[in-house]
Amino acid sequence: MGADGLSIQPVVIARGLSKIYGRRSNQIHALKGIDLDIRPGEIYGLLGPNGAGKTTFVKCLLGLLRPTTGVVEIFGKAPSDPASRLRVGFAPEIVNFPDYLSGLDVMKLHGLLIGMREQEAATQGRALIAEAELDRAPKRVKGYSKGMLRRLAVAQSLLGSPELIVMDEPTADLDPLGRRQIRDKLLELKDKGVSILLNSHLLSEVERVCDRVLIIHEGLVIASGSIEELVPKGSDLETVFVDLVQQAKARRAAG
Amino acid sequence: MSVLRPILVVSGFTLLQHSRRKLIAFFLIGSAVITAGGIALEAIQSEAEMIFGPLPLAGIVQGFLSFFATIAVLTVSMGNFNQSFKEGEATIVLSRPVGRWQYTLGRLLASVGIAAGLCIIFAAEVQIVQIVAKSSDPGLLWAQWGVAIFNFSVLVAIASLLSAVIPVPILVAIVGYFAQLIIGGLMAGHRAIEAGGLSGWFSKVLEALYYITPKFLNAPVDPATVPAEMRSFFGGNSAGVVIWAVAYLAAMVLATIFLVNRKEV
Repeated sequence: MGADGLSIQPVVIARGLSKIYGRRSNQIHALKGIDLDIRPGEIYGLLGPNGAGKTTFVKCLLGLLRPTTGVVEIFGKAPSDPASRLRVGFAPEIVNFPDYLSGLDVMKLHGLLIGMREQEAATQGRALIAEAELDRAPKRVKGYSKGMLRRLAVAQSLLGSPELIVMDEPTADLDPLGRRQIRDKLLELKDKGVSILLNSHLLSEVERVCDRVLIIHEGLVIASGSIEELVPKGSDLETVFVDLVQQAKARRAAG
Repeated sequence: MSVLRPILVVSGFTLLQHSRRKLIAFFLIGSAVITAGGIALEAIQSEAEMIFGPLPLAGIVQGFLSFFATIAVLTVSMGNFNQSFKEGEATIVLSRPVGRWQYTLGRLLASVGIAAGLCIIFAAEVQIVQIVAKSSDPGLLWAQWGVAIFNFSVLVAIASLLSAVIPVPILVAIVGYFAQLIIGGLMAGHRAIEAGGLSGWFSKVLEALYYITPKFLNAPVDPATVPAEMRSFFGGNSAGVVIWAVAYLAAMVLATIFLVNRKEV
């Protein structure tokens, strides 16, 4: 319930979300009944070892993949409805923009796709490019380094002041300074009431910025809750994470 | 937001991306070289005539440029839905409020735009050669390239449909090129059957294949150089032919939308 006594509608709802890849003979269960709610203005961490199903979850959330079973909603709409993504920014793990476009062209493209006017997209795009310290980057995206591409991906996800930002490994390929800038930005956005789904392997970053986390292993939820609930005093998220994943592996090995 | 907006935005930026590729510059410079070659040949026409007889310069240049346009169209269409999905370019666009059908139409429209642009430039270049060779028939020339724009749109649809199925772009270009040749062969076979030149089981197989494959339009021909009985054979596009060609084109576009919609990112 909110302070005014009204219930707060979650920005993202997932119930029993499952995804199976492949045909009958060669099926991979990437997600096995994921439940989660992301509340307005919170930073939600999605954690798990490689191949846990984090990116699959993000793709189901954004309508890029169809769930096999279960329900997922953004702002009360199904992801298959393109309008559900109008207030969503996405910084993907694998960054690939059309390589003959300039950084500003990329900003204009994404600004226009969310309904901004060209002038507005250009003005906001320039400001975000400057903030991402890309104003001296090569003219074409083709010449960008991995770190520059990552910065551009994060910058374009902020276009149009989205209410939900999905960030898949936003600090990968970034130097410590870049990581700190992203962390500060996340906290600034949270203060403005923006909800963030953060998918990251950098657990120290997650521990510093996330309100709640969900840890998945081989598509199954193995823990969820606030950082305070999950991490005992004197320990850290990394230790808890490693313990939980090893326990899950042991349980699986024991059948 | 209008449903057309995402289509136009995707199309516009895909066009911008293609227009900056060196490959397009190569086709433009190459066609200019062919045109200049045609004009240079006109300068030595009288000497060449003694060896080869009168040279149909505009026709030769037009033939080269048509082949060039075919390669250019395949080049810009072959990666439409395999490369963009594999490399993640589509992922980031589709995370915006853009439906897959809008993304598909946007990409197709951009390829058609490139094809149309090249046809207009190439037609202008042939026109220059015609003027130099004093064999100008602008009406026929522009009508031929107008039909070429439609036919290249069919080729874009074929290559795009293939690109939603075949993961390797160069394979799409090769299969698309041969598909175009086969369709041309089936159309010629169908005309031969209608003219009574072919019969038997072979003609039945050919007819069956003809009815299930897309259609190109026949290029208009110069009535002065083609006998009346051959005109419909080479250059006649009745309303029925046009309707069928458009219907097959629309069916390919719908099939591409269906396939892209099923594609996993």
